[in-house]
Amino acid sequence: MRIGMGLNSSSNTEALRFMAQLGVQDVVLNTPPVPVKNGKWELIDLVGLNNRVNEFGLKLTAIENTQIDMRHHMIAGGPRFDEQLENMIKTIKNIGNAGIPMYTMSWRYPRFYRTGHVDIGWGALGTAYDAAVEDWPNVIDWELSLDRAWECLETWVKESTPVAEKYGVKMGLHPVDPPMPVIGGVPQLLFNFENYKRLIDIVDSPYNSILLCQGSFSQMAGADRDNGESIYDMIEYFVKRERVLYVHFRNVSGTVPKFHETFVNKGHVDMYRAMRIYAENGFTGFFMDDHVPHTIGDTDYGHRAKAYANGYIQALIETVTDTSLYGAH
Amino acid sequence: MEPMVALHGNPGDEVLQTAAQYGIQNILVYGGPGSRHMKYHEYVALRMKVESYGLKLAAIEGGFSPDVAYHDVIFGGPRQDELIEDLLEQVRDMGRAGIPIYGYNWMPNSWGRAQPTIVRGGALGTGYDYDWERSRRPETFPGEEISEEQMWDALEYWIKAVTPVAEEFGMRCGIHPEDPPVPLRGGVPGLFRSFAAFKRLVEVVESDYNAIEFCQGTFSEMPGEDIYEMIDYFGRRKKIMYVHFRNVSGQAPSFNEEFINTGYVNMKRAMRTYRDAGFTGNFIDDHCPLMVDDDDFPGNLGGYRSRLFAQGYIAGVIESVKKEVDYGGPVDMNAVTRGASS
Repeated sequence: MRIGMGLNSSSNTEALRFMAQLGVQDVVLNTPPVPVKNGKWELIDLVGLNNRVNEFGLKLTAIENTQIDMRHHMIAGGPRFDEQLENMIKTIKNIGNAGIPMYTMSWRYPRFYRTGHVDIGWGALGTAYDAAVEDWPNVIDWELSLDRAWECLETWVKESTPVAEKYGVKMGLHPVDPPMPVIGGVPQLLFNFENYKRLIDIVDSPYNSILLCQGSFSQMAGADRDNGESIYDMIEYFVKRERVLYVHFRNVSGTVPKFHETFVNKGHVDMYRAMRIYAENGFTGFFMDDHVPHTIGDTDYGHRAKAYANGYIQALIETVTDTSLYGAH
Repeated sequence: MEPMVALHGNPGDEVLQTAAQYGIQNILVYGGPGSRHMKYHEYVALRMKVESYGLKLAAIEGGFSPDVAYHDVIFGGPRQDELIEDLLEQVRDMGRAGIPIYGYNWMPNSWGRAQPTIVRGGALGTGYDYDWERSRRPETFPGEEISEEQMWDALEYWIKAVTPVAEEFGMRCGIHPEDPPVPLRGGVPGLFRSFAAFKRLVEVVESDYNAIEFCQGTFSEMPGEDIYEMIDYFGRRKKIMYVHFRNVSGQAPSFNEEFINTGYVNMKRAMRTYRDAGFTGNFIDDHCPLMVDDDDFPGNLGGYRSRLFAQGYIAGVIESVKKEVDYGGPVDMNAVTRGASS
């Protein structure tokens, strides 16, 4: 088990230096501003991205998401489905040829969202969601049935997984966040345990895996109850089957329909217990902080809050496994 | 066992709010008895400021020993009694103000280092080399012959004077080791450079109020000593007031400071040793490496980012070693079937 960290743009020198100093072993680029050329990402731009991260002595392990307008018809069954599917598959080939070993994606449209922020103590701010005040307008001007939505996902998984295997790109899908069944008039799929089980059965391959955003899974209805579908049960189920690529290790106050994000060691999830489950079931991926609270004096990137969460995660990995991340003891 | 953070005197709003936001409940402030008499009402004001953020002023740390004005207390001299009475008056003021712990040292040369060392990712850790320092440091008190026994006599005289006062006011007092823990700096012996010296200290007066400011970093630097054995020994005897939880590359005569989990000390094992010895005090991050681009922090070494990394690590290790008791220890990784997810 390793320690990772994410950022949006590889031009953020300060963030890359910061990661190198903290000993980050896996860098994740989240929706990096790679130019979209004829609906896809080109090899030369991806090679540049990889080299840029390598210059800091860091490893670019994963790209998380492409621009949403490269794939929204593919996810939500729009008229440009075939064209976007083809371009995304070409993009996966280019990611593989650039030597980047993972591509993860949020299978959702419109996008991640929250309804506000809450003061989580002494002015620290966590994002908040409340279904009662959600006000997304309809975002698609075509019909989308639940069956058609599943058909889109199944087509993507069946078409892309063999390509990903051939080009050496492990792929994992991130839950819809907030994990609600319908957002902006679009039926959503990856908002519960059952649908994730269905996803990994579409093609039984490590190249069809999960980006286990532990935060989003913790927000799923029932994740906080000891009912066989708790966050701990979900982690165990997917790690045992070797279908988790890496983990967004963050914490939340509760589940949908109303929750807020909080410090990694403060929410409803016992992070120590969670970390033990990864270790006991042979997880070999990495953990990264995610959505850290905004604290006084911090940057937009959240250097201070990220340093805290990263240190906490390193301590949990090392203490749970009684090993050193850096081979020291 | 809880995290604590150490701040320069008169901590400002940003740093106190930061501690409150991150749930670092215990505050240590540098200061205490010395040439500038801080009065009773100033200690109370400091405590109230800290408490206004829902935090606890858990300790004051400082030391009059590097202040030449207290030369006769450290080495014995004609003004010894008069100066001790002056210090005890200050100790009483602190105690009356409700400060539960006073950490100080017996280092007339203060702490010292040589050239810094580049550690992970271009960050800087302090470095030390005995020969490098000896070739450069002048005599601290030219013309004076200073012996270890003379310093021990003065130390014992002080301990016998201060301990009853500390007991009366309910404020534990304890000594920080010599950092670096070497025999001689500028002609002045380093008294507290070994396990044996601290065993001797705690026997001068057998009392919870004659204790140790357990800088684990410095104890780790002591040549030939076993850090886990020292934690266990003093932890079981309730001599540890609180801990400076930092890591180093090795022991004197030559070492450098490191990030908290890249030094030679296994911090998980250290934390388990405190737990098993029944220690219940606090842990500060202490010196942290200087990270590029970091924001200035009102403490001794390291900026906000570097310190919050260490604070996160400390919070994680404390939580883990407490909770693992219910599971019978850490996960036995040799018994785990390795997955192949990456």
